[in-house]
Amino acid sequence: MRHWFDKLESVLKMAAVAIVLLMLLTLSAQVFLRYVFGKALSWSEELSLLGFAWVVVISTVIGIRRLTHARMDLLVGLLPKSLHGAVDALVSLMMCSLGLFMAYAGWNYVIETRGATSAAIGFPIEFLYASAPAFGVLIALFSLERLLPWAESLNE
Amino acid sequence: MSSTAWLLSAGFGVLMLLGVPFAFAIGIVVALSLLVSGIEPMLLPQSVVAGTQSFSLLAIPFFMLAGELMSAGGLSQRLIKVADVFVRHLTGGLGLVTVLAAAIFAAISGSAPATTAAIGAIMIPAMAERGYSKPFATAVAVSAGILAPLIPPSIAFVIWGVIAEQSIARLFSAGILPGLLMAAGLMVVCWWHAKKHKIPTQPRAKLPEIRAALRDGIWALLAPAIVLGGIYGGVFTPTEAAVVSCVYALFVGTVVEKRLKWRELPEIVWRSTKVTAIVMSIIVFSAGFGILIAQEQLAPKAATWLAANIQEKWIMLLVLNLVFFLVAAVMDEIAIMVVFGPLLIAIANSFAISPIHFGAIIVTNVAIGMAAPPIGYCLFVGMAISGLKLTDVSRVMLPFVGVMLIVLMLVTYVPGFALALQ
Repeated sequence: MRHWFDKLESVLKMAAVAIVLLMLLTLSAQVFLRYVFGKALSWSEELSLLGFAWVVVISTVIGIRRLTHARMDLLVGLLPKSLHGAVDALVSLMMCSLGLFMAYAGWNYVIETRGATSAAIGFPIEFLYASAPAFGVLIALFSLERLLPWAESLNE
Repeated sequence: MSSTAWLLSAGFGVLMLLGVPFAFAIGIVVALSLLVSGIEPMLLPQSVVAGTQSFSLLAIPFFMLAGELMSAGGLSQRLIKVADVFVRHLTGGLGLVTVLAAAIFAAISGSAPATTAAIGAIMIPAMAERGYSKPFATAVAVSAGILAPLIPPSIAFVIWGVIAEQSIARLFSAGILPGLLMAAGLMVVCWWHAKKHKIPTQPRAKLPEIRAALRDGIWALLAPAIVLGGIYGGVFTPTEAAVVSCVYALFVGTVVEKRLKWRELPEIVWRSTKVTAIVMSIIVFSAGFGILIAQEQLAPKAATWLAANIQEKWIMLLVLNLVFFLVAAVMDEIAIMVVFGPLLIAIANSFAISPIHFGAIIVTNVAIGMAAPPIGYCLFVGMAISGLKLTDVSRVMLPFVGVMLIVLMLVTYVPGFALALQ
């Protein structure tokens, strides 16, 4: 099963890298066109911010998988070793619950705002707001993986 | 206190102590508060998405990427060479080289740990080879990293600018003198250490060597000029400056230096994105936190109480710096900034502190927290490079932290440092 998680991670990673490069290209074009031709682009900031939302979602959930998020582990380190596993499991379960809540509320949010379009480009607003339920599902998924036997080997 | 207020304060504290990452601890208390107080759950996803939709914050991934690209393209090495030929022959020379190179790198990179990594990876082994103890070499690189949040561009100032709704360009200039003051202070420690331990000095560079270093380093030295000149010349916004420095670093790395290979690009982009997540995840979940804090009127209430009990402005600032320093020993500095942001701003308002000066005080605190033991991003990066433990590095860090606190006091009580370049 680890295989599937690895696969998901590498697909997400590739997507994030592609989006960042696209954002870089878009914003470079914005600066270049304005500076050289005095022409302001109307869509470049909105497109980059759409990309940014998804990049934040992807990189954050991979950070859960790889245990790279900033946290305080001083106190947990003082507990007896036998309790570490239990505390880690509790933390993962709480994060998983947050993910489920986010998925549920995020889905409602998408439904609620359906049909609206973005201000400058006019893309369906679902493109942006769908990042919320996706965030929830991925938080839940990668937090659950931290309960599985290979969790320790994922740490970076 | 209401149940929401309890959740936001005590609940957050408990989750933090359990080791829940700060970002998710914030997210969980927001979700619970919504459930308890019967507020529409959609507030959470809505505020998280809205948290990403700030063009100013978009500077963060690109400043991170620019730093990575500069290092991969060999620009940090060029900068070190330039610093080397000018100051290596002085007492404590290699320490001075480290600080000076970090100060120049700080004018390209906005990230403290990235600066410690870029300069430390080269200078820690170099110093250890030439008469310095490894812990001291590590401490210098760790301390020099904190010049990055002070000297513009700075990710910490970008985040504070968004939280406090202040001009990021103006905040940037408030960090210049404190940054230079900090660099001078760190150099004094290096000089004093070398004098005390009679560390041999390096031979003075001859003119041809200086000329060669400048010729090789010109592309690296031009980078800060483009970034800062662009922002203050009104050519582009801080976010666009970050994008431009990425393009510049890509161009120099691939075309001029030819050390950066295109096929390495995805890995470099991913490295910078991964680090961005650590900061951004905290910011996006805090958006909902901020809304609830505002609804409960917690920040103004606390600030009013403080103003009534601590009447003197200078005592308030002293307490604030002290508390920040202590909290930074257990909590991530960016998390402190965003979680306590509303409270801090309310305090600044009730004591009539200039928001730009206040920003400089906060970011100096953030910078110090990144290097001061027991936790801090720069400290972790430095220890990872040298392979040393916290106990090895902590003691040698003391004089550096002492100097940092003196600089903090100067920034706090002499508003001129932050405001002179406005």
